[in-house]
Amino acid sequence: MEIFKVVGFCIIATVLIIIIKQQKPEMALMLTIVAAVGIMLFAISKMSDIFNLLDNLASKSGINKDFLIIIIKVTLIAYIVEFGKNICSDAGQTAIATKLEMAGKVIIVTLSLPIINSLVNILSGLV
Amino acid sequence: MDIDLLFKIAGIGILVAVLSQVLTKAGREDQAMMTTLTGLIIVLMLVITQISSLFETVRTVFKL
Repeated sequence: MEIFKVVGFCIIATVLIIIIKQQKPEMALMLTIVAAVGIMLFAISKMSDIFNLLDNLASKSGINKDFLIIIIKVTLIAYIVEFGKNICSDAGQTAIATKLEMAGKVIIVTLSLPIINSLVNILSGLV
Repeated sequence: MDIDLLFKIAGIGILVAVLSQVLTKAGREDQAMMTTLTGLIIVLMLVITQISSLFETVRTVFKL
């Protein structure tokens, strides 16, 4: 199955990185970035069918379309922020990693403001 | 998941490491520094094209 390819790719990348880490740590960081980007490309191309299914379900069940778009954006932002955060902390820059995580959280909250507004409107309507 | 790009970058890294060792042993530290920098810039260009293709794929796959 494909999972063997992915695991083999990760192991080969780790071995290469260990080889290069002593002489050139910055080259090892480049290798980690390329390996991480390769695996993410593989995963995201797989995720498109999942989101097509979500679109069909949303259009059938009549959920508000832009809420679904916000949900997709939030999950994407979470993945990308985690991708950058782990690479920065791998390189030893935990300060940058935590700041990146904070920025990601702020962006996610600002993105989900419309949902919070509509929730509040619905609740105030009930009262 | 192109493994050959991984091997290409590992090859460049090993080559630069060996070259800089040879140059430092030959007493030319500045040239060793230059080769390290050029190797790093070449690899950085490869990495940047990979990252831009990742973000482009993300944008097209999710129609954002």
